[in-house]
Amino acid sequence: MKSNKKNPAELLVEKLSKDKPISDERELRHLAQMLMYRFLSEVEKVSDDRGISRKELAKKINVSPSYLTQVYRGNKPLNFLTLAKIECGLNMRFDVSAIDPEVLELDEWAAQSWADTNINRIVNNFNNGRGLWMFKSRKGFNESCGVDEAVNIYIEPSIDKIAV
Amino acid sequence: MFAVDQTMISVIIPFIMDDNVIDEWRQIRDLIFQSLRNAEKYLKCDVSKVANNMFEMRFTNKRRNIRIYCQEVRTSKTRYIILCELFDKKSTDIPKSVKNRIEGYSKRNYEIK
Repeated sequence: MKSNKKNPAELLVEKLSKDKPISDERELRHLAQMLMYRFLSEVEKVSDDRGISRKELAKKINVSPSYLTQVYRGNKPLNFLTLAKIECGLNMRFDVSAIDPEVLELDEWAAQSWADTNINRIVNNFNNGRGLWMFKSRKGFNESCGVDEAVNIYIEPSIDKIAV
Repeated sequence: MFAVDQTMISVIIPFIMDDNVIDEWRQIRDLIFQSLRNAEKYLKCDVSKVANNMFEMRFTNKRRNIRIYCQEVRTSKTRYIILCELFDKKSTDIPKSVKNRIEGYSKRNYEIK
């Protein structure tokens, strides 16, 4: 049974974090870093899909492999010139869109549910590579694909029905 | 969701909450939360073939090379990442004692409290 008592880890975190609030400037730096990582995650996915190593990518965009490693580690900032080089080098394009934080919460939640089920495989069949996904709830989908509970999934706006 | 192996709480929590580490910890935490891929920060652990459910977090800022080995457990609803072992990597090879400990952690069945 779950008790309301805090576990030792929670107590230790509470104790250690009491005197160390995160400053606004530090928070902004963190957000900037995460923004960079969002771009880099896409680059890594595309590179992996195409079997391009870090070294090969560095060669394609005319930077040193160690520079790319430093960027991935967060030790060097990623600038837009490098991003443009990556776009050309990998023959890809970053799609930029702004999103409501409320929708973003759904997005993360759905991503988790997505990873936890076999829906990923099914939805991938409908991904035509444009990368534009909308959040929609589909009642009854669970029965068709054998998932334990009703889940929300991403489907493309152009697809009205999913045949499973 | 993150959890810490009970035997390692007093080592791992103070480390990740340290003022010099907490920024990097928050980055790794958010990379995982946002399902972002970054093989320099969080990746499948290649220390042993036996420990195939183990992952590693890499803390490399400020010329460190510290790793936290984690066991990943997925249930139908939640992805649990259990922080198990902290290791300050100083050479290319991982010592056998650490390798054995990682294999030991990979076999543990955790009860989340």
